[in-house]
Amino acid sequence: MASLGKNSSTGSGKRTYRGEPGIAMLGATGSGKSTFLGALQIALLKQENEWRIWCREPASRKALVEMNTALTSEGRFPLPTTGIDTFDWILGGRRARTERKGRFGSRSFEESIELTLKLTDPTGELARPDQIGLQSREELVDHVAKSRGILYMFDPIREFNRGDAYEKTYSLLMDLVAAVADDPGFDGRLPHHVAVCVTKFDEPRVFKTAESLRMLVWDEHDPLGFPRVHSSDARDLMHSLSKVSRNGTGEVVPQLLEQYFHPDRISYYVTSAVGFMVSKRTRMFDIQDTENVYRIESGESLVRGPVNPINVVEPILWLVEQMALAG
Amino acid sequence: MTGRTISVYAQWALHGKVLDDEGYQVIACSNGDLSKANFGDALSRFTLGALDMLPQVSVSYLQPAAPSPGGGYLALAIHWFAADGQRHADGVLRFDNQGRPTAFTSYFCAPYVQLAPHGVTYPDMYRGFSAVTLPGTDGLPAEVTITAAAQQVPGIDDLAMRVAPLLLTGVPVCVLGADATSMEERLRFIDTVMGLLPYGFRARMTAATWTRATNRNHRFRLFFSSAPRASEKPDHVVYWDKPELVAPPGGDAGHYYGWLTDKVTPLATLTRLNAEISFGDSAGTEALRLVDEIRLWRRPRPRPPAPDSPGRRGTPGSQSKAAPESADPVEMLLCECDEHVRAPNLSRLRQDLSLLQDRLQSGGIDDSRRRRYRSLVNRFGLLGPDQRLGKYEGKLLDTLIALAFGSPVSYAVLCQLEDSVRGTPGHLPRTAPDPGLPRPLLEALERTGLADVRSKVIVYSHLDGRKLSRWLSSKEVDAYRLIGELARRGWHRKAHGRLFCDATLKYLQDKRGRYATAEIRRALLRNGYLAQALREIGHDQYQVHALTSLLVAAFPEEHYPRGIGDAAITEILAGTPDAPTPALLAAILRKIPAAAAHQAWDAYTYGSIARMGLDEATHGALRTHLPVLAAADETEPPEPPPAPGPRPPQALEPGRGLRLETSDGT
Amino acid sequence: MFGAEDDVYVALSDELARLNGTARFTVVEFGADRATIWRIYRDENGTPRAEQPRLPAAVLKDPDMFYREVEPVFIVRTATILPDDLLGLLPGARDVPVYECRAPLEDHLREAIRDSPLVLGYELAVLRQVPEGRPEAGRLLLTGHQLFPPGVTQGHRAVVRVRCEPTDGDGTVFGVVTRDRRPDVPPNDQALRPVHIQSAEIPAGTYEVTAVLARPGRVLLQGLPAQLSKFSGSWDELRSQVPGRLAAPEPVHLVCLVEVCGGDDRLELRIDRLSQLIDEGEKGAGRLSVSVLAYGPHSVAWSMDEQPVAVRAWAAPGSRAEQELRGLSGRKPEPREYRRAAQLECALETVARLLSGRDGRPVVVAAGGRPPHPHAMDTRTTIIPCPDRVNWRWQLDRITASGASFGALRDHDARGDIWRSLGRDAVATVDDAVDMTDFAARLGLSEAAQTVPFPFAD
Repeated sequence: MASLGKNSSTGSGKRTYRGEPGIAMLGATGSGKSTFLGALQIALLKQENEWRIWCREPASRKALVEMNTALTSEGRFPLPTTGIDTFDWILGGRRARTERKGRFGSRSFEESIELTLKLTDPTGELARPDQIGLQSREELVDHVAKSRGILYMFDPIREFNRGDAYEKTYSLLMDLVAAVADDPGFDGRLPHHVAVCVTKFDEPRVFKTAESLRMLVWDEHDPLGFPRVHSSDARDLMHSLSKVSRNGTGEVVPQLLEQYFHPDRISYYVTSAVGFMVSKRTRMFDIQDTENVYRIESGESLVRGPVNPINVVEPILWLVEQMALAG
Repeated sequence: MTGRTISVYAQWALHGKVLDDEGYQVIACSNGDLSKANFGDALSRFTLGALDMLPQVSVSYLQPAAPSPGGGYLALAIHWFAADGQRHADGVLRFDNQGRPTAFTSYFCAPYVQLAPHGVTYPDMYRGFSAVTLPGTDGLPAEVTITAAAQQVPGIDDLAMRVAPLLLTGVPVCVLGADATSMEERLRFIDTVMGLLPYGFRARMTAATWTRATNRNHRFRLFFSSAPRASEKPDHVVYWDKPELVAPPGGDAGHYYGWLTDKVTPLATLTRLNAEISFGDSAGTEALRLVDEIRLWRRPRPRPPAPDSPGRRGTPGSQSKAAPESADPVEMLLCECDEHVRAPNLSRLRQDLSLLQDRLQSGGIDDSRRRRYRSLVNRFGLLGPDQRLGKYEGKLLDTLIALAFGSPVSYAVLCQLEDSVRGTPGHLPRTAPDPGLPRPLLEALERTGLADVRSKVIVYSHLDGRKLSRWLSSKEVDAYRLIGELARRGWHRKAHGRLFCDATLKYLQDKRGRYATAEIRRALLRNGYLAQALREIGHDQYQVHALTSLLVAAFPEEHYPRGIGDAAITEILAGTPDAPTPALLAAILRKIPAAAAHQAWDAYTYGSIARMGLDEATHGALRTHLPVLAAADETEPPEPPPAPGPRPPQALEPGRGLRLETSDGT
Repeated sequence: MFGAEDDVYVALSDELARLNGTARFTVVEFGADRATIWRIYRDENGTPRAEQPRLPAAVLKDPDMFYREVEPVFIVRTATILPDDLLGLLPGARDVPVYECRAPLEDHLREAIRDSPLVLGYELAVLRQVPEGRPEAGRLLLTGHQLFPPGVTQGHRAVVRVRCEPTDGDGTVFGVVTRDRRPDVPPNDQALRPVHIQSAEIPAGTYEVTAVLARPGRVLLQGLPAQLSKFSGSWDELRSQVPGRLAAPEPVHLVCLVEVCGGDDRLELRIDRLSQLIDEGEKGAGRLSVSVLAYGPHSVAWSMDEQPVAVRAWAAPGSRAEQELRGLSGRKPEPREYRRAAQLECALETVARLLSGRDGRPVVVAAGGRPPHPHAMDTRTTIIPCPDRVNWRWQLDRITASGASFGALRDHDARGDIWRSLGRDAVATVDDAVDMTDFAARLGLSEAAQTVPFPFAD
């Protein structure tokens, strides 16, 4: 089990909370797992909060720099993952805490947080049923079983074209249950916290679906005028998008997750790793032209404009918070 | 020998993507003994991770589940992008339907029994297989012509020589720093390494010309990458252009390295025997003489190493792997520290230091343990400078000092440290002039804390003159303390005393006004003006210089415009507990007018004889021959009240005869 | 004795040489079973003709009546044994030569007629315009252009340069005529009498025609781009179709939209086809002005600069337009440009904005394959919309309202409403061979304004 958090004090009395939450990325091929990670750095910067991300370990550091640079400076997406990539990225920030002091008092203080996100980014192929029994699949299951957080990427476009989310999720969940069944405290549900990310929000069909369901919320303070879908609507959006899945099974994916995980440990988000296209002329969001990805003559996909990730930080912070509360 | 051509039937598989959004899969394969599922499994085990630099090559093996007469297969996979003009497969698409570049793999495996007899190398296999264009549909095994290149001496590749034995430890080897090399060069390197091992190892060998650093779970035994992978069991990490940093492994793998060195190094050494030699009648004799001088490796008789015997780092057969017999985990950690310093494996070293720090903090290290730790530290030479360790050097020294020597560091400990470092290979022998401790060690000592004046003066003097000056200006220091230390003698090295004396003299010169000269005089008088002490730390010239400086401090010119008076001369040369030295006399003579010289000579003679360790009878006989000394000068300036202390010897009564007074007044 | 073929030929040639005006002579053939009587005369054009006159049966029974009524200049006996009635008709003492030969008299007649020289000059019926400065300047006159003078024989050649104007109807008529040379009638008013009339649909243009006298009454014309066939209509009707003047040609404005993306080879193909179309258009109707607009995809990414529709030529002469078209070759493709659409909608908007009636009847031809950028988000195609929100349908309607016709030279994989609309009057696949004449004709580029039945002689 991943060890989580311990407090330590420096000689000057400052507190630092350190943790090593393991987070596994799950999702089909091309659902946006690696891109999500590649956008994390820029997402933190754009939010102008105190969180920052850095690395001690050189392989992870190199990967962080490469993925971030490729996405934001060159507009290139990460190569399709092969095998299982593991990153040790450290999320650092500060948070306010309150602790009891004496019998009746309490004391507020600010503590530094240093969380080593042990991120597992597998190739989407491993979710295929034909991979069951292969060593790589076993390794993936093992990674996920040892993690306590899952970022589940739901690709509505893939679901529309192929409709295989249910099949792949189900087979993986079965393997996971088998892997943790002997853990102490297993109550029939997987213990993980799951952040379900409905990806590709900028894609016209996804956006239009959200618009038609009146789920778009505008924040007048957003400098780019981006709309959002509130997390309370995210599950419903996922459900609506799943209804048009190719074979009709997609709409039971949320129920599948709620059956095998604790429902109060699941949160939904509507995300886009690259964000909406920002009009070059107006420097603002254009409701008629939302997609921030395009195909060039050679067939390669590139990012069109600046990367302004949507709901990339939020699922991770939620997972971290939940895992810290769980101890 | 020219190349031989063989023909093999290779099973093959084409791995990549088609436009069905299913992701990577085996697109097509040969319909021989191996099924699509077999290929899928093999390919999934040996993935390189997503790379933007292709083509790359990986080598591995396949063992049938049931033993078969044909045995296993050697496998070679070519990983490539479907760019224009590629010939590796027909009908493949460059990008998937998400617009991402697709990396294809052409996977070939040929029966080991067909390849081994011909000594087929990896580059041979690559040349043969890379000429095959795979179809997009299943088909027959491919008949491939492999031309074995002409046999060559494995090449005196220093890094390959060191990596080959590392593979025998069972721990994978990661090669860093090869970004500027080509794939072919890296494949040749892999082959060169395997050429330094029995061919049969190829039947189980797995290697890759590049892997993604975050792909931690791959199973390649030898691979190139851009950064070490942070796997639970760390790899041997070597650097492409720094073979000298690769320490040979321990145990039999290390012996194998020795054997290789024995066999291969002599050939390499030939190029260094470059003094001009002519072909003549004695050419053969000369050649033999030269090669005889090349030291060969001899496998040492295995014996357990003595825990306290000094050892030299890097000697084969006396490796840190020969662990101390005690179960003290600190000793094990020190052994591992040594190993990780040699490699260097900084991440592991960091972990070692962290554990040692924990041990330190938990306390309870008694003297005997410390002695054992010191012995290990000395044996491993861990205190010597090592720039490769970077920021960990300081941490290492801090930890080792605290562990093996304790803190704060006293003069005695400082001397032990010096002895330790002086014994380290690469440092100067004892007889050489002392350049002091290495700077990193000095800094570590300062951080650890210095216990006494002597250690502070020595460390600050070596570190930084300004530090010394600052310390001398602090309240910790006064002239009397410095003089007292000098008088105590007992320097472990002359140079220490010298340093201390220089610092004292500097203090007396710079801090004039901060001390009472009368008190200085009294202190010096008590200690024989340090004449005997100075004999231990400096030659004659230095003694005279130092004693002159002391006299100047004791008798400043503004108070003694006419120099030192007769009474003072008598007091200095004849009135101190110690016998005067020639250097003291010389110093006095420099500070008195010529007319007073005879007074100094008399006092010197008197003091020299009087302070000799003679019996009463001998002393008595000499008494009458000694000169008569002058009384005190009444015109001397008024002195502050004398500090309580032993009464100085009274001036002798004028007139002939000698009445000796001892310090106790009898 | 048989074998007097040469004598027969000479005799016939002599008689033909003497034959003029309304004179005629008769020759008779006595064959194995009957007699064949030929009466030879010249028609109004001087062409020798031979007919078999109807005579009462008694003429062939009574020798006196035979010689009195028939008056043969000679008899040709083609059978050794004659029937009795013909035996009795032999001349005997009469001074009528009898030639014995095997070949039928008809053959000799044909040969002699073929080889006989012309007695009247042959001319080609052509149109001429009254030159400027003369009364009735510009009026068209039907006149003759000399081909062969009298006296020339079979095989004689003459070259004449003719110019064919665009015409509707049955094509251009090439009539060999003789002139009714009456001294009291001015030459321009002398009637032209048809000798040999042929016609074909000849594209407008100038041609060098070689006339070869096959025989009196038949002239072969070589050097025309179409095969001539016998004209079966009325000469007088043809003459009446000659217009009083040449109508002024309708100006046409050919607007070429060329998509520059898709690779060098494809662009070259489009340029070639449009170039051929311009050439074709220049042959056809009168004044042709040509515009060339080049367009690529919108810059959909920040890293790319926008390349708006380029108006390389507007209502320019064909040669300059072609030059601008050729100048588009060798465009270096931008590696990061969008591949799923091209700004065809903006190209149409540009055309709609710039079109005016001054430059002629618009003919819009688009060469490309990609769909346009939609005017708004399109979840069906997910093609990135036009940043200016231009709607291609509206632009097409605007252009249509100006009376334009539309042609499409599209890629083989071009699909969608846009390419159907752009090709509604003429469509061809640029990858295949294109019948550009037909393509141009469908667009009305080579339409003629009137009937001009005869060529002009330059």
